[in-house]
Amino acid sequence: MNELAMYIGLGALLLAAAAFLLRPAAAKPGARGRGGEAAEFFPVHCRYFPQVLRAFTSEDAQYIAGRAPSAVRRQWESRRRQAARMYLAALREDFARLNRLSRLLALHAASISASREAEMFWLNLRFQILYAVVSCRLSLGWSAADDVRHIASLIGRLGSQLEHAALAVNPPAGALAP
Amino acid sequence: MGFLHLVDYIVGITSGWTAVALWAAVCLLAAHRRLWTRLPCVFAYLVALVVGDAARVVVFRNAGYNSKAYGWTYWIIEGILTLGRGTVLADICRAALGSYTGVWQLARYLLGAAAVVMLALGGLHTGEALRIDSYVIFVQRELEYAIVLTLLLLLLLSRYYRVALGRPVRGIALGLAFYSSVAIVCNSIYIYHLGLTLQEFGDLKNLAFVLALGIWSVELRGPLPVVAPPVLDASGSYDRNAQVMAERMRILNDWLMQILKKQ
Repeated sequence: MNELAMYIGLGALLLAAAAFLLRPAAAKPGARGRGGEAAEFFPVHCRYFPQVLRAFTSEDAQYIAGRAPSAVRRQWESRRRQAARMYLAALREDFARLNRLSRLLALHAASISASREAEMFWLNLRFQILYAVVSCRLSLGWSAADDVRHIASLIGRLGSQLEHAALAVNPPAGALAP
Repeated sequence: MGFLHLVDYIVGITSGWTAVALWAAVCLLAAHRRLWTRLPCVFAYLVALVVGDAARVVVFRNAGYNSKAYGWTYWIIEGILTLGRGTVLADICRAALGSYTGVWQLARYLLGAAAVVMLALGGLHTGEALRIDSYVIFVQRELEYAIVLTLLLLLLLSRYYRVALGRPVRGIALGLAFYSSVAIVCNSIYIYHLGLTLQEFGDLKNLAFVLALGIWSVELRGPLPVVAPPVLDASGSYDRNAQVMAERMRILNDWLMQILKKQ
C-alpha cells in the first residue's frame, strides 16, 4: 500500500511540477518587462554608497557610546542592524536587476557562450545561498558596533570596485523593445 | 471500485470506432487551425493516432482480443505512438525556444543530453522487469519518464530565460505531461502488482489519454495567435555585456562572502 501511495504521489508530483512551471508568470509590481528602458535593469542602490557609508561611520558610534544612556545605545545599534539588513536586501535587488538583464541579453543574442551562461547561473545560485545565510545571521542578532563598521568598510570597497568595473552595458535595441 | 466502474463506462463509450472518430475530430480541428505550420510533429502524431487506432480496431474486429495478431498490432502501434510522443516533445521544445537562436543552441544540447541520459538509465533498469509480459510496459514507463523529465527541463529553461509559452504550445505541453505522468503511475502499479488488472490498467490510461486530448482540443478552440519572431542581436554585444555583468555579479558575491568570513 505504501508503494502504491508512493507511485501515485510521484505521478502527482511530476504533474504538479509541470502545471506549476506552465503557469503564466506574474508581473512584478513596478516591473515593466521588455517594454522598459535599459536603465530600469541597472543597479540603483549601489549608487548610494557614500550616504550609506556616512551612516555607518565610527564617529557616530563613539559619540553615542560617550553620551547616550545604554537603552538608547541598544536601540541605536538595533536600528543600525536593521539598516544593514535593509541595505543587504537592496543589494539583492541590484543583483536581481543585473541577473534579469543578463538573461534578457542572452535570450536576444544570436549566439551565446555556454560557459558564460553556466557561470552566470552559478553566480546567481551562490549569491542566493550566501544572501540567505548572511540575512539569517543578521536576523539572529549580529553583534553590533564592530560588525556594522565592517559592513561599512566593505560597502565602501564594493562601491569603488563597482565603479571600477563601470557598467558599459549597451543592450541591443531589440532586447528591450516591446 | 466505483471509480473504476466510472472509468470503465467512460472508456466504454470512447473505445473502438467511437475513439477513432474522437481522435479524427481532434485531428480535423488541428487541420482546420493549420497546426502543421506551427507544430508539424504534433499534427503528424494526431494523424498517426487516427490511423493506428483504426488499424487496431480492424484487427480486433477480425481476429479478436486474445489473438496473437491483435497483441502484435496493439504493442507495435503503442511503441510507435510512444516514440511519436517523443517527437511531440521535440516539437514543443523547438516551438518554445527555437526562435531564440542563441539560447536554442544551448538548450537543444542540454535537452538532447538529458533525454539520452534518461533513456540510457531506463535501458539499464530494464533488468528490473519481473516478467516478460511486463517488459514492454516497463520500457514504456522508462520512455514516459524520459518524456516528462525532459519536458520539465524545458519548462525550467523557459522560466529561467523568461520565455512565456503561448497557445497552443502550453496546453499541448500540459496534455503531454498529464498523460505521461498517469502512464508512469499506471505502468508502475501494473509492473509491481499493486492492484491493477491489465484491463483496469488499459482503461485508466485510455481515460487519461481522452483527458489529454481534451486539453489539446481546448487549446485549438480558436485561431492560433500570430507570433512575431523576436528581434535578435548579431552585433556581438552579448560577449562584451555578459563579461561586464559577470564581473559585477562576482563582486557582489565576494562582498557577501567577506561578510560571512568576518562573522
